[in-house]
Amino acid sequence: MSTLLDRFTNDLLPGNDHWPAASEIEVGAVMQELASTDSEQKSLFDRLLDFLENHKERLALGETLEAEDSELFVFAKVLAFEAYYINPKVREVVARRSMYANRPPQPAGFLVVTRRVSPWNEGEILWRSDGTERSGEVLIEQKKDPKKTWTVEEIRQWRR
Amino acid sequence: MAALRDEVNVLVVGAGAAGAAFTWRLASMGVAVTCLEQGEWQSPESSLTALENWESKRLRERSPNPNIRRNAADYPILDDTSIIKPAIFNGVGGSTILWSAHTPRFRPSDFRVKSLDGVGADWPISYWDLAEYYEINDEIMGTSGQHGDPGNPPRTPRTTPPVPLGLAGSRIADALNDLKWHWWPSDGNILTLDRGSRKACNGCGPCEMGCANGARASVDITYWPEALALGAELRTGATVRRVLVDATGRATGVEWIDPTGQEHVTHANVVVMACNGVGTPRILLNSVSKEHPRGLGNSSDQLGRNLMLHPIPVVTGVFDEDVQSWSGNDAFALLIQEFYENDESRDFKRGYEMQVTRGQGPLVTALGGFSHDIPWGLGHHEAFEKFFGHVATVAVTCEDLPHPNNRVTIDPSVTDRCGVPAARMSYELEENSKKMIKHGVKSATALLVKAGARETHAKPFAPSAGFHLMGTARMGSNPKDSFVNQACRSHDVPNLLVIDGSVFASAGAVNPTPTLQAVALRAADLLREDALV
Ligand SMILES: Cc1cc2nc3c(=O)[nH]c(=O)nc-3n(C[C@H](O)[C@H](O)[C@H](O)COP(=O)(O)OP(=O)(O)OC[C@H]3O[C@@H](n4cnc5c(N)ncnc54)[C@H](O)[C@@H]3O)c2cc1C
Ligand code: SF4
Repeated sequence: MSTLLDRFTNDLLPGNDHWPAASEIEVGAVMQELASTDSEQKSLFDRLLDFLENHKERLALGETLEAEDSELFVFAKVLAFEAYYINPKVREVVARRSMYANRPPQPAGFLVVTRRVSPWNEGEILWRSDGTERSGEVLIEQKKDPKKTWTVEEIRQWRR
Repeated sequence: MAALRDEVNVLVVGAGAAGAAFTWRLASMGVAVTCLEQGEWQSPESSLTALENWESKRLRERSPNPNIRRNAADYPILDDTSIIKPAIFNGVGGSTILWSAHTPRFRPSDFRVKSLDGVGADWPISYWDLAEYYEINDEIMGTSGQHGDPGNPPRTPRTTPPVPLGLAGSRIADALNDLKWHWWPSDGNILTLDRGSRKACNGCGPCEMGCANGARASVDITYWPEALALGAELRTGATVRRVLVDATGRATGVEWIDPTGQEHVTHANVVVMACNGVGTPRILLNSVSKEHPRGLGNSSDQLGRNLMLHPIPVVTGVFDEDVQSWSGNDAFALLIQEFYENDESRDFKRGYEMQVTRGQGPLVTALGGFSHDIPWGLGHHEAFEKFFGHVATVAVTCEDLPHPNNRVTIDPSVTDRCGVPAARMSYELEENSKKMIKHGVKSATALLVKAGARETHAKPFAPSAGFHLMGTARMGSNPKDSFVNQACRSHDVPNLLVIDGSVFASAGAVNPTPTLQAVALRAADLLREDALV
């Protein structure tokens, strides 16, 4: 069975000079482990194994499953990708081939590289009056001095 | 086993964004208040973002969809009748445990959509009634941003400076300046500087799994510690089955189940529902009695109807430059409200906002992120390398109009662990939304192209984005077409309040949480002012 799963997952995630093929990092076994945590997933996984067994003569297992049972295919694809992309070896490749720092998000976090850009419009008031007197008053005040620093006390006065 | 009985003063059901704000406000005025929450406290580590396999956890234990996550506190929400699937969390902190903390406010016109633009329903209150409460909420939650946005009424200086734009955000800001489309750094409940025990954001990415260092607010670390210090009581593991009434039709308390299966009846002077736009109608629809055969307080038949979710089309742009799109808080940096207000020259009513999202790790990218498709098979690795780190996604939050057939009902054929019927969401896109979506996709695509995207990929709506749950017990002056009055009190049952997003009469085109928290704070003040507690 594992060779069938290997064939199927290699169809989805074949290897090349940089990336390991799914079978090289035992994606099939990890898929089984992931699916075993949930009864619904487990029964879908069993269905996948049955399907592969029943179609083992076919050359292209990925294509066959996608054509014949698209729902099961989506389940299997997501599970295979999950198993593949959480693998440390794959994440090392991701880091080598991009600027990604290969570590979990926490506790170190990531530096957010940025530039400072200011909005082109810092003055012209753009919100629309709701037709109340209060809107009119606030619009006039805000137009007079768009950059004014307002206090909670002033804002409290707006309440009816 | 006989039910255990006790008595409290004000009883709040649900310890999420609204329940926490309301409880804190009443407690700060010296009122005795008790909150029942079906879930438990969450530890900072429960975000699971420090694990090597964190991305796997995102699809499972930390999925926002309760039907996938299936934690002990989750209840089933049947969603085969809804094109948008639910996204919530059940536990102390409610859905703020998983939220992105993007916190724009409603604009004044959002409260007057019927009078101004002839669609939907007006609120019986205005922006000006809530402005002060938005400020209180911003302070407690801790809000980064930059005051002085000419696209909104004035507000006070923000707690900390805005989150960084990032490389893609900077490109998009440049493009917006070229296009002369209005934008502004977003307000968000994410701290960019340390504040007490909460640390500054370190740009780790997946806020929607929870924030391990407390930069992103959730009400379990903001309102709740303060509310408890003021004497409020919070009981966890308390699943409310129904609200009880007496022969005069007044609410007398609630019936709830603890984790051992023991039944309890807690009597109260006032019952306050804060279970969100799905959970609240679910429990009230399950609270049938002789006096309230269609569900508690539901003489108008409005309970559960007018569900508004914000359809969110998404457009992803792919850049030649590696913009490191895996870094930075995931959902926002800048807010684009160029198309927010109604424009009669367009073929739809009302408008939308756009926000730029990021924070996609390797697995999420490989699975297609928000809107692209990465082939499997021979072309997979090449396509992955083209996308990973090189994308920015513009999410378009479209104002949703209320429709009576978009609704929450209950289905007794499926129940939760305590025997409470499942909620069912029924939701379809209206014609107005479809036209708005088309316009939004066009604008977002034009923006990304202007920002230098080599290619763009659009999805008409994000099916998993059912996190803005509004309208299902709406506020209004007329008891015939609304569920609560301007003080959030049921028209039919004077000592029953609803204080969450269920009361929204319109949806605006922004994330709803600061508005629903402002509504909750105001409802607490009015309850006190009217000497009802
Ligand atoms: C992934 C995600 C991203 C989001 N991003 C944003 C964002 O960026 N900005 C924004 O404004 N909003 C966002 N939201 C939405 C935001 O979280 C909600 O609007 C907000 O939390 C709603 O507050 P609430 O109090 O109404 O309900 P919730 O916060 O959902 O709390 C309801 C509580 O009630 C409890 N409850 C329900 N039924 C019962 C019962 N029968 N008995 C006892 N307790 C019960 C639940 O366990 C839950 O804890 C996001 C949500 C998610 C899931
Ligand atoms: S990006 Fe910032 S706010 Fe979001 S989870 Fe990471 S540290 Fe917290």
